[in-house]
Amino acid sequence: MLIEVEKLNYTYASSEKEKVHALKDVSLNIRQGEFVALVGSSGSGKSTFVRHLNGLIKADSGDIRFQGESIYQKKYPISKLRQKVGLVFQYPEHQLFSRSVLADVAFGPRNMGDSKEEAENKAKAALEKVGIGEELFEGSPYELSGGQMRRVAIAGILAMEPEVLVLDEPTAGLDPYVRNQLLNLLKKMQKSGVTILLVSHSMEEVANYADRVVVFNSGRICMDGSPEEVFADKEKIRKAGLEMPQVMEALWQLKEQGIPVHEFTCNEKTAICQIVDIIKKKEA
Amino acid sequence: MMRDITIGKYYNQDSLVHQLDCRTKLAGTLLFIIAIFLVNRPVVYIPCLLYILILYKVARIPWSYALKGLKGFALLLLFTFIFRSIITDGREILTVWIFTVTYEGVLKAISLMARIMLMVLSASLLAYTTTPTQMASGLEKSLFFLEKVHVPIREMSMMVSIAFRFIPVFIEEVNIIMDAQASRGVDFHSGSIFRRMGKVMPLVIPLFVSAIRRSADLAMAMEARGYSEASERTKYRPLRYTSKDRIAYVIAIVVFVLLILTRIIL
Repeated sequence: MLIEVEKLNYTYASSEKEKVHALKDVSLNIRQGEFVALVGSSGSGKSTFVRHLNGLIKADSGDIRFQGESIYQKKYPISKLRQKVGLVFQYPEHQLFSRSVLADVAFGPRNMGDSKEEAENKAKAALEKVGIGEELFEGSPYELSGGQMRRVAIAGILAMEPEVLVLDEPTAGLDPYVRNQLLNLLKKMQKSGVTILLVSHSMEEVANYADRVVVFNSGRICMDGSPEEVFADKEKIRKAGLEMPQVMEALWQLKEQGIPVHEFTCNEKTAICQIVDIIKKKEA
Repeated sequence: MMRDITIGKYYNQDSLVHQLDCRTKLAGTLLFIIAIFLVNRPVVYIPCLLYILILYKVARIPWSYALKGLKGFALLLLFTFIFRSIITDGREILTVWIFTVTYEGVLKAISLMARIMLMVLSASLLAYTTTPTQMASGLEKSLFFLEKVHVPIREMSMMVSIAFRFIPVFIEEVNIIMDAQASRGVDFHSGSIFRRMGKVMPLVIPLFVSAIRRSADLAMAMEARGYSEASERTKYRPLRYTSKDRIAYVIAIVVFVLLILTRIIL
């Protein structure tokens, strides 16, 4: 097991008198090479949870083991952990600061102790992955378009060559083309052995890219399984403040209309084949 | 780090002091501060302190909270005390090397310390019981006469209230940027002071960029909703004096006069 989270609890004070219990007994195991989507309505604790994974927030109680070792034990090298578990924040482009794109992306590897040359090589590789052309390397990151800035910021994390990549709503506000490019990149990275944790509000993204869906509801994990398993429970999904992916929703509505749908899938192609089959059977 | 600052932060509570008009509190605080600087007998600071402590009680703000706010001034108070005791001429109490502590010096030092403490306590009471928005509109109304001599009080009050409004936003922003840069391997909590200063750049630049972006957005949103400096603004909660304010004014003035009288009588 790559990451083992055991009974994590976290509370913070929202004002002088009020306390928010953001995570309640959250336990989760993540295997190497998985593509896990974390979903849940706003304020359900997903973002708080991912910040525990690289030690930015320390839980009140509970334990997190990375590659078998508790990250809460004394003298655990937190900086090593942050290199291995790369965390991409919401709107990561707001954290760009260097004079040139290349220097900004090389910032992470430099902090990890790489030489300038090594860091720049890693940065170049990362920028190539996210599709930023060489002609932009020496320009200011603030002169780029929004989508390009986002990709540069993500490259800043990729350049540290993490084993686990955690992304908090990386596609928010991106145009469809860049969004698909980014998601395909994540899928490709998964195939090369990187574990991906994706926080998302788009059920389509989740259904199409993730192997496993974890649903958060007011600080607890309320569902955990493959997209098909999770989205099969319509009632629970509603309760968590979420919606079905469109494909699944369409299949459900067809069933309600009396059409004999038997397989509830999130995959567009499978769904269409199924509907075509039903139509063909009817005609025959 | 920035989450622990208590001085000057509004303390939400339902009390008599909280209900007072901001202008009353402003005037009361001002009168009190003027008075404590005119008082020339150290003994008088004892009733002054009592007066402030009673006001804290009425405002239902725990004394411990006020004390926490004073902590930041501990160093200043200490230095004031030491320097005042040393540099004043008079009867000698103690001599260490070339420094002589004098009787008059100690007396003056105590007075000065008491003044600073009382000033901080009274000003914090104002801040604890008044929201920044109330403060801005109170100041606007109190200083409105300056518009006659073409001082743009209305705009200044708008700017002040916007500035207050964004303090929590920027604190939140700093925390996020710090977390994000920490995820890229910056360690803000170790290293020599020079190394730590170098680490400020990845924090300050994004913060500036975000401040500029936010202000441009806000300006546009305000214009989109018809804001113009030429038109008169109406208030959602207009300031109005009540009988409580009248009583408070009387108390503040009586205390002021009594404190001034101590100069003559004692």
